[in-house]
Amino acid sequence: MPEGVASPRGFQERARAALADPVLRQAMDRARSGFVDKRARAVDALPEFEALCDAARDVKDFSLERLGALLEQYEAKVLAAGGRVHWAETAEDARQAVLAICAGAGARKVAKGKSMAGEEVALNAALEGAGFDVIETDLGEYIVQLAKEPPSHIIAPAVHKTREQVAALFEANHPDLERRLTEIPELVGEARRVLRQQFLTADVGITGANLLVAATGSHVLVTNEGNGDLCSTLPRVHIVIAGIEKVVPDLDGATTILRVLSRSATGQAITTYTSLFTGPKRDGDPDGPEEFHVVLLDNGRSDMLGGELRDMLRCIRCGACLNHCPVYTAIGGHAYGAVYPGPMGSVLTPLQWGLRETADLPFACTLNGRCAEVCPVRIPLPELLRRLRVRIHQQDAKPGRARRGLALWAWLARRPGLYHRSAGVGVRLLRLLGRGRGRVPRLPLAGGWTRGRDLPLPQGSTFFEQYRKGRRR
Amino acid sequence: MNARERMLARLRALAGPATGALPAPPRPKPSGDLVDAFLAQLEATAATFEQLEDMGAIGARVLDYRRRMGLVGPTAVAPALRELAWPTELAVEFGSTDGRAPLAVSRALAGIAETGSLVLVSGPQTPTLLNFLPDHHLVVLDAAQILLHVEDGWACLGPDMPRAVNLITGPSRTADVEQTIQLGAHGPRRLHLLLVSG
Repeated sequence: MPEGVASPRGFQERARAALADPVLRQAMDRARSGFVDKRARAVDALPEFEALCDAARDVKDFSLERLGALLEQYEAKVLAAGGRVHWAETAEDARQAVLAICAGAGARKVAKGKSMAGEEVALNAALEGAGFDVIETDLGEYIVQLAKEPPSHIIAPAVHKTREQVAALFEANHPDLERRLTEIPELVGEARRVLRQQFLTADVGITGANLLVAATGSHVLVTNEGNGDLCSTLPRVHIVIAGIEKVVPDLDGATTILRVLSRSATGQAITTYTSLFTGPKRDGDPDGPEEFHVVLLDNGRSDMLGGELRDMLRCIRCGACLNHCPVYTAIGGHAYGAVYPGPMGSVLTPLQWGLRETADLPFACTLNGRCAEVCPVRIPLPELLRRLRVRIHQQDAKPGRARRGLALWAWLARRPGLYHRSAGVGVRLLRLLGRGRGRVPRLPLAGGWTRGRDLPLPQGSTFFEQYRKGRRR
Repeated sequence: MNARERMLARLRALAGPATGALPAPPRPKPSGDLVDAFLAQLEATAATFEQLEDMGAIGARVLDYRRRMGLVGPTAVAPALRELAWPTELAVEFGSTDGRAPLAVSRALAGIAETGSLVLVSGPQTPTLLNFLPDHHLVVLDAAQILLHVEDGWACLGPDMPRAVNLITGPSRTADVEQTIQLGAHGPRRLHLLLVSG
């Protein structure tokens, strides 16, 4: 975690610090347009893309309607293939299940592929606390592990790091590295060299899953580096940790989702490695793990299924809403202080941490709607954030100042005569404040709002004054 | 009740009306000849290929590739290709690999024109690690096995799923440093297809 961040509390301070951080600014600027342009090109190249998004939404809704039955079907198939299934109601259940498997296998070293479910249950801390050696093998995850930070993006964990920072981390952590590397190919080669040894000596491999396929008992793993496949094949024990919402009925449904997932995430028609795994190694197989385990994680998901934020369970973790969010791209992922940042995170985090801890997150949104436009499974993110805002207000979870301000506005708005007169005074005051500049750089009583932006100057009079003038004509 | 029963009971209580089947989703429509479309997609993912008249030429082509790339060390070959004639210079080892072989040759079940992907499955004759550990990955594919959609690839699998089904599309890559694409992250740096048309 970045210096002392243990909860989403303190969002405003971290966001302010992030805006003033020139290195973060540089890293985010180098990355941002890449994501947006790559996705746009992939979408333009596929006339069926929008229809596929509708179909992917339908597959997810269809699956959520029969989630229990599909999970049972998936479980039966995994058992038939020789694997084991562990049901985890909470993050603690999931940690205990993984620790027990590792201990039972007499493991010392654990190689991890990137898993957001693993991040969600803070698996690394639990494994390290129990004395296991844990090595992240996705390059981005490896970089943030060396930096002792959480990932700042759900598919590009080290997006906040510049190449210079990565080079410094490798220099500090790789004792046999003779000089400071400078170029990206050198950095990737160095990570390959160091991590190859880790793959070959790990006892347990842990990965996430992008999809679970009920009809076959398979899980789908989508990567570009190939580290997930190595984690799934080299160690003698393979553990998968997956949210229960990942299950779909069959391979055709999975394929529809894959078509929109990779395009939305990285702008690829398909990732370099899209793999289906089913159970442990078979008789006669020359490679593959002897033991195969799946941990099915609930951790609040079944509560969402019955609530007004159910649509969020369609999320396939592509990251498009982060990449297109003006707030995320300005402040980066760490400011959110939670595992899932950006628009999707601002819906999920309050559900997992409680509204009081996270009351700032649903407000870290301009309601511009870009996230919903690019969401490949049509999650109405701004609407879900708005529902959370209502709940936060109803539960008095917002700080007093914002509440008093809103109460004052509501009192005024219920008195139209007074409201119009005060609006007229306000407009004239603002004009005075912004005289000669066309904008108001600092607003009395709202200094926080104008610290990061200017208020455009009002157009001379209030709407009702202009309306009355127009009617007289 | 244990965790499994509690979770399933909650989910059952929330199950929606079991509406009918899903409508068939749309599929991308690659244009033109199937093989041409496949090879165009394959090249777009930074893979390379050469076309062969018959399987008998594979040994010589692998040797040529090895020389061109200046590789030394053994060549790991899938047992599925054991019957072919292999030049002694290749120092062929049939079976899986521990990563010491710089070059591996495997056999694909199918090619997918939609994406330029190769479908490889695990099994006694087709070790999975050949697809991931060596720096250079050569894949043998029959041109007759080039199919249109990813779903057509799944249809080749039969009733018993192999442990691993790998859809491989180009060489390994990462964009984790400054979102700049760099080939050869953890898997092969090069992917080369030997397409057999005979």
